Amino acid sequence: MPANRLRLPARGSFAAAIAVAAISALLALAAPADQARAAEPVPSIGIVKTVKGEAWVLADGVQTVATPGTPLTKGCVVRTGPAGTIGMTLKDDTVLALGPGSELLFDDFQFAPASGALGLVLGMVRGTLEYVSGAIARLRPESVSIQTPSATLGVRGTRFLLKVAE
Amino acid sequence: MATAAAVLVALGGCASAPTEPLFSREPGSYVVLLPGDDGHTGAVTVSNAQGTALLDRPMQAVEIDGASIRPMDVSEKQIERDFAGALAARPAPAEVFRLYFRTGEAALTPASQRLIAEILDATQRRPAADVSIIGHTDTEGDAPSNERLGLERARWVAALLARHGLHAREITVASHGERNPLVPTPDETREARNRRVEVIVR
Repeated sequence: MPANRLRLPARGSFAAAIAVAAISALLALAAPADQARAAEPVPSIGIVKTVKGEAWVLADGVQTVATPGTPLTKGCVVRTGPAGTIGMTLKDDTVLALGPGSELLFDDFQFAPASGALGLVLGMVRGTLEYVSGAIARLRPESVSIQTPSATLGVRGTRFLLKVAE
Repeated sequence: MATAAAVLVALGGCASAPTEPLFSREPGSYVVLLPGDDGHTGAVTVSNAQGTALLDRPMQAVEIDGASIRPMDVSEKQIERDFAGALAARPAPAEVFRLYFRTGEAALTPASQRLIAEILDATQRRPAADVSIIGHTDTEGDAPSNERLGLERARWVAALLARHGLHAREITVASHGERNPLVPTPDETREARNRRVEVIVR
């Protein structure tokens, strides 16, 4: 759906991204195993489940109109419009919902208990959030934090609401 | 007589010390702790330049950019005013199906076999359903072997579900080995309840 995808010109480092892609392609030619890996999509850390009004997912400089099924990836940003809301689930069963005029960054997500890699770091820039914790907070609560412009929230396995006024 | 006096003292203490006043004005940025769906309330710590506050009771709140970081109560009306949109957008919590194998066999127990239809039904009922199929073991044996064993079991269940026509937006197959037990145990402990494959439908 090309109409849903909008390249953001002001995001910079576009040339750098192309250069990186070119180098990756060269490396892939040199090593067939890498080529196979490069062809796989970036693994999603969660999925959009509900949308009302306008909401977007910004990942790697590409902004996509969010609909149920839109994947979330590490480093992505989710935004809602003045009348938009969005509900999401993460792979560790964390449940997140944003009210209108919100912006949330997915700074880090690691969910591989067998290798001990666990972590969830979210950045709430503005707006309103409902948070219901998942397996990462149950297995290692100290690895979960939610940052706001003025505070850091530590989660001990729970459900809470957060409003960040502008 | 003594009991009545104790009750009066308790009530008096309660009435004279409303330690948690409501926000006296419109709060700016704040956090409110809510009870979970299971009725259990967890805890949140909030740290900023003023210090750290602990919220551990339902409806306890704290302003995060105010002059102080003292917990207060917040009214339901205030929550409704600020969070109606977010609360309405929240997706349903994940459904977890625990599958168990017959002892020493590559076959599910009859009770687990009956869950297959429910799993398929749940994926069809939910918007943009995604499914995780996670293998778990008990703590008997070493951790790397248990991770491999968990993955084998998860793949076996994934193949079974595929044959039954499982369709989802994303299907994740993984192993948590012995590191995410249902029933916590010491190491090197046989525990049948922990030897399972969890199918999580979101």
